[in-house]
Amino acid sequence: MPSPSTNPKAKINLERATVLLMEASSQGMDILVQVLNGFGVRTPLRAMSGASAMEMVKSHLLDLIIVDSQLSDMDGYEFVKWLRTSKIEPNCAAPVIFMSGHTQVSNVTKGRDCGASFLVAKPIVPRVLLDRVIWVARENRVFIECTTYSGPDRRFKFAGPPPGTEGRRHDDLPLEVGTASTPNMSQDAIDSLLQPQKAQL
Amino acid sequence: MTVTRRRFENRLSKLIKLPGGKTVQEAMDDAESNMESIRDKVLSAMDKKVLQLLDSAASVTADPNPEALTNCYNVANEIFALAGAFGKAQMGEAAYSLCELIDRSREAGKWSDPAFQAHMNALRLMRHDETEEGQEARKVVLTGLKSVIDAVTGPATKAR
Repeated sequence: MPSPSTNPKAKINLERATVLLMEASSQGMDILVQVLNGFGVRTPLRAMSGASAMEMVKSHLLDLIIVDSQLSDMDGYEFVKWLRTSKIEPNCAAPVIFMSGHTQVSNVTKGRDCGASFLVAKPIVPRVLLDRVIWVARENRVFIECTTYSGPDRRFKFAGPPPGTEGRRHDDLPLEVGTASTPNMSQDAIDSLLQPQKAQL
Repeated sequence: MTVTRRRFENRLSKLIKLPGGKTVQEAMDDAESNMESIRDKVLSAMDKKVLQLLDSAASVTADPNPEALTNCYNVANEIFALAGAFGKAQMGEAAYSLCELIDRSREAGKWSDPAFQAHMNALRLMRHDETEEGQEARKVVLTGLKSVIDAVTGPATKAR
């Protein structure tokens, strides 16, 4: 069953997407390749090590990267961090789905801070993975670069700053709506914003 | 601290909408049927990894070296991922529990060989008994493994 956010009859086309799969286990890679082929990806690029993946990032235009937490020569967190700070555009901002089986306590913050677009828990379930692929295809979060973090904006719920705080950013708005500071808009101004549109059936 | 905010084009969002392709349901059905085609091959490789793990248990003594533990952790994590992908949930849970034991023991700076051996025995059981009748007994064993880990390392703390 597809998730409630995905219409099972909706069409998706991944034939022309260049997808890089990173997984150190050959059986894990077989599973990923079969699942992605099922989704319609024609020939996914495969890398079992961080070093070979870095070469592919430099030589291919990538539309999606799926990376496991364990690679043969480095961990997946290091790779994503390298990618996000590599300045190799536009690949440095490509959607990254990060897969992890058991997560070591010491890696929880690394997972949060590495800059992945989405974290998926193993074992791989086609329904869950497809849902995440569609999710990252729909989103268009701002790419943040600063000394401590590079990657998609982690605040995608826009729930405002934590209760009782004023927020740290200049564009943080309080949760409670205050008194209006400007006059109300006229009805004409409101009508001009609500232009009737043709419904497409 | 200077923060730069930039917006890059999400090419995947354009490609996924191109004419052609398949429905979400077809994509899921195709992925599942492709997975079925490699089921036997993957499960046979997973069984070899379980045997490898059981063999390596002998080298993990009462004072295990970090390298041997990391190796056990990695193999168990792989077994968890492969078993779960093909519906071998209880084998996956036993392997996951071993990962949990090794990780939490490292964090707590404690080690219990009996707890490790209990996990090895659980993996042996999951490998030999896949019967429907044995399911409840295996469930009890898996619950017991959680208590064993808590007894060795203390209850799980919140992720840092």
